[in-house]
Amino acid sequence: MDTSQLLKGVLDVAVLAVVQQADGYGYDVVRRLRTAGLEDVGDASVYGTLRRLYLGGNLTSYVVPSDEGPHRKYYAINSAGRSLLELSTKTWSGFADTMDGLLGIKRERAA
Amino acid sequence: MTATTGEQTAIERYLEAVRAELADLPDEERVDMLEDVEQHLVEVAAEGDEPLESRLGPPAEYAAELRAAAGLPNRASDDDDPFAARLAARITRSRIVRSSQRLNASLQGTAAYREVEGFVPQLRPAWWVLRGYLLARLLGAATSSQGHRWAFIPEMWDSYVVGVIALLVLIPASVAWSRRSLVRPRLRWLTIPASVAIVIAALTADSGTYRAPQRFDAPYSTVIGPAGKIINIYPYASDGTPLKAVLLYDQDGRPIPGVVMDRYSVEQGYRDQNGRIVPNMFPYPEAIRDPRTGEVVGERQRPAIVLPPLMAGPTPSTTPTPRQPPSVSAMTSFASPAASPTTKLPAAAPLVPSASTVPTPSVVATPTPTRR
Repeated sequence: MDTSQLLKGVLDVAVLAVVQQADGYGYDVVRRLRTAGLEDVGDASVYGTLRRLYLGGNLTSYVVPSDEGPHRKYYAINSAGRSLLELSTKTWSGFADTMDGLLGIKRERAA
Repeated sequence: MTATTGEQTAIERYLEAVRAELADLPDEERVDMLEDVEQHLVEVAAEGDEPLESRLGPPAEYAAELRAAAGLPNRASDDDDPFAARLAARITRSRIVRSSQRLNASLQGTAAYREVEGFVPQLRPAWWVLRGYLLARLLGAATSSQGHRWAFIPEMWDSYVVGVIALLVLIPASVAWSRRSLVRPRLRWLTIPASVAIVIAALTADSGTYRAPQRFDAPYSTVIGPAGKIINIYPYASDGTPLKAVLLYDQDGRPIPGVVMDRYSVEQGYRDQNGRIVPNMFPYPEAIRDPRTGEVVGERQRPAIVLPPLMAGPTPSTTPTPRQPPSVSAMTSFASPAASPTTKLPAAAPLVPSASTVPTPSVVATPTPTRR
């Protein structure tokens, strides 16, 4: 199975989840996604997704000035983003359950 | 940590290359995106020695991935119209589109909204069909002479046959346009403004009938005879005397209104005591118009008729002679609709031609016909 195809479908949710855990700037979000196990995610894809979510009203952004380097643009989740994340999480769980059932996988899901 | 000079040059080169790939976007959009890209490049450069190109891929690919994830259309190729590409990107990022996206995001909480939202895109092909139909109607309204009643199939050049052909051409054309099989990319931007214009025109254009300056109390009806639409009625007495100012009512006592009343008919036609049009008084004056200019060039005369071979003398009726003006009691009995179903109307009840007044019964006020 081509994971990059799967990833395209869920990148929005993954990005929202990461930003919900803690505000982050672009590269920070990329790193956290990679650490979480999504090694194939492209940097540009994450940046583009952040921008799109921001323009769609699901993220807010603010700039943190820095003495030693360029100012960093941080992204934060807002209430619309939270709703979307919640909704997408349900969708994901439902879908994963369906696939598990189809593939005969029994899984313990964390609460 | 600040980048070294060598890194700086590499960053700048990469950034420039990405900028070139985003050149077709609106300035504001491009500037914002490039800020993010620069931040990214600085971070990546600081991580290690690996050159940017091998770490991130060629700038063109980076730019393409960035655009796609950001929801922007792909880079316009050299054939495409750069204006159209910029317009498309500007529309995607416009306040209207973004506010509606935000609204959309906040409505996602409702299950009902999500259901509808999922279903609506499936209706797009139906819209394409409707658009072709509306276009045919508009063309029909523009090319037909004075409009008659609204019919489902538009008349084009006063012919339903041509109207059907127009539908058979325009509906598939509308579908093919939106399915991208017909149109050069250059013209694609026309789609939305043209569609909006078609909808507005279809909602506001009338079918070609002149608007009468007054509203009638009785609604229009369409009377279809065996040979076609009936738009005027020329009454005659049984002996062939042409009758004027005849009032017509249907089986329930409702006035039968004229079906085509243009400005001329209204201005020249019968009015009652209050100056209101009498829609069920026949025949009403019909203008003959120059088909090109629409100007009145004359008034339609009575058509040639063939009288049926009736017996000489009075036809079976309740009044003794047809020439006598109707008695007041006869007038009263058919003036009140409740009584009329059983009353036998005289076969020819000649109202005295034109300008004389008719006795007004107490129950229903008969309009006094006056010809201007």
